[in-house]
Amino acid sequence: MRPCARRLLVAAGAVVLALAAAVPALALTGDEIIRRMERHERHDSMQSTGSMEITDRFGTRTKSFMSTALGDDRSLLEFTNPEEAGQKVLRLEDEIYLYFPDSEDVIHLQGAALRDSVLGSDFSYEDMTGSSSRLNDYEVVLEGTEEIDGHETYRLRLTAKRRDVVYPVQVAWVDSERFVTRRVELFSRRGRALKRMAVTEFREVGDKVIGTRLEMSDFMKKESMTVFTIDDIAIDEPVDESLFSLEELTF
Amino acid sequence: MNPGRAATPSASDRGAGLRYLLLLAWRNLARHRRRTVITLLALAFSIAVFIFMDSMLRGIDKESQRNLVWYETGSGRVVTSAQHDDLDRVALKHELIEYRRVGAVLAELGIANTPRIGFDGEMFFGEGSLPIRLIAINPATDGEVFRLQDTLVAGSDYLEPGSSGLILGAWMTDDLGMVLGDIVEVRTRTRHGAMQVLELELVGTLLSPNPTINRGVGFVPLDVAQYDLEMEGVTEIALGAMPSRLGRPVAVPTGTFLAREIDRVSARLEREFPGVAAVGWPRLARDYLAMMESERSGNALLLLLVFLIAAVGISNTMLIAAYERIREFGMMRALGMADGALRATMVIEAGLIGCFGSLCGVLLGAVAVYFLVNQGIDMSRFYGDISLGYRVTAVFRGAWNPGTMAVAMAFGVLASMVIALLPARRALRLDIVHCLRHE
Repeated sequence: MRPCARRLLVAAGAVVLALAAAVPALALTGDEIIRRMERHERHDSMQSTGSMEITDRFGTRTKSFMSTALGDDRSLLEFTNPEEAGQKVLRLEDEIYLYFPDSEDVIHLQGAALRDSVLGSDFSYEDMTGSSSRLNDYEVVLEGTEEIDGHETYRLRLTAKRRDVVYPVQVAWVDSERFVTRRVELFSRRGRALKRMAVTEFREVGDKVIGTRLEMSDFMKKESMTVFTIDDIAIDEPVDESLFSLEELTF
Repeated sequence: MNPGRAATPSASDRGAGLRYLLLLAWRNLARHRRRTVITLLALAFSIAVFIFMDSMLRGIDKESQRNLVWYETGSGRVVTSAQHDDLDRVALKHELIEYRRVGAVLAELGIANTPRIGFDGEMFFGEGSLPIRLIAINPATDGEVFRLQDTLVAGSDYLEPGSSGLILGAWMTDDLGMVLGDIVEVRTRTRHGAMQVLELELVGTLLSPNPTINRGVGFVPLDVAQYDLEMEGVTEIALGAMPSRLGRPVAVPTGTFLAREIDRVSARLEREFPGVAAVGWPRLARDYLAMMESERSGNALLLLLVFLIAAVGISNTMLIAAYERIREFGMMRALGMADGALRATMVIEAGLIGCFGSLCGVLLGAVAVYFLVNQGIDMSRFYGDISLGYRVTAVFRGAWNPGTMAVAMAFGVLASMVIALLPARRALRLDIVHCLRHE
């Protein structure tokens, strides 16, 4: 056999082997990967404490919080750091209410105010709403596999099904072994990268794997990063439903 | 005829008496020339300051309204009924799809108009970002309603349809150190709420007489905004000058004329385009007008203070004038002059001073107002681009107000005469001996 023909044969063999290795990974559809991923992300209830480290061009500051969530549409976030102690953010479906203890005032966030950032972080109040399944809002396409921080991931492209979805395009990297999100990038209608969320630490709670350290950065803002850390977490345990009411918010 | 009573003086006697008192008062003023001149100048200065202040405040108010209409709101706006009910929150979802047909009807009614989209965003440049109000305009028709193009200070071309051009206020570009050709990104939302980023090139800067435009507003081409914001229509149609019966269009319509025109437009639009309504500029700028109303209260207080200072100045000089002459009054009373005649002399003296002082004050004030109207006062050294709420830049201009001048003149005369009564009364209460001994 001529050397040239032998090289061709070797290359073809390599391609066949690579495809064979990729088949199990690509056997899953994008929708199935999302379903498996959301099994770790959606809970009947969740109680946690943690902190939010906000870095921008003015420096770094840390906010601590207690959070309680019930299902997909009710949550209560209370800040515990001295500067914002007692400030609460109540979410009832897509409605957000803020409570300020100094003025004993409740503000109902509406319209453009929902786009404001939470205490100057890279999260907006709007990011806290609408946690229904991504499959309701996006068409999911599995684009392939990639290695992220030494972990094999599925790269998924999520394209909004409707024009009213806040982030028209998302690209998500989902751990192919544990089915947890390792990274998500959010894009504008024109395809401009807006934000990146990277999950760098995880903790097993029961049969679920929960991301406990999230880094959110804004591509358009320089030196901007919010690190969201969960210290303690309990999921699917009984929660007092009366917490999620306006009466309780001001109590 | 009752022989027991003194004969009533005839009209000719009263006229002769008045002439005598006038002559006496005039001689007294001439005799105390220095005091008369000082009193007169004090009065003239107070009146002039009052006229000047009034002119400046009125001028600012008037120019503010004009700049608001010419650069910000237009004479009014045509919007959807939903937007009409909630003017505080201009939203892309209240889209006026049939804007071209509505525009044609407005033109039929003789009202210049131009379509616009107003939306908010966050502008990113270099190291930082800031919130910005963007207005998408049709460069071909915007000049029929607004005068922005005339205030272009950098950039040879106005906005080209289809281009990603951006025009910003000069104060903003100066603050941010931006130059023509710089690229900025604006993060905003589409009509449906999806995130969108517009990449724009700075093609011009404006330096308008309206500080709101100079400070925080950007202009982009309408067709580009419609594409990026996923809109078929616009959020508003701005209205220009309104036709009057006299033939000449009214550039800044106000009051009942404006209300009548808006009603006329609304009635026609309601018939042809249900769900579309017109609104006049005072409703669009009601926050500004409410602020102006409170400013006016402050201004009225300021004018009252100036008025009081003038009154105190007049009373002070009149009091001194009266006390200086108590001895003289005693002598005149000893010679047989009646108290009433003496009081009348003092009041006439004060009236003459008031008359000449006010006249000088009005003349002095008119000169100051002339300067204020034609030159204005450049306050940029004091205020820079600090917002005072008014829609005027640092040059404060005045406005003519003959009514104020007449009021100031009448006040100067009357106040002087009334104030003179007090020292006269006091002097006449003293007995003649005390008056003659008065040092």
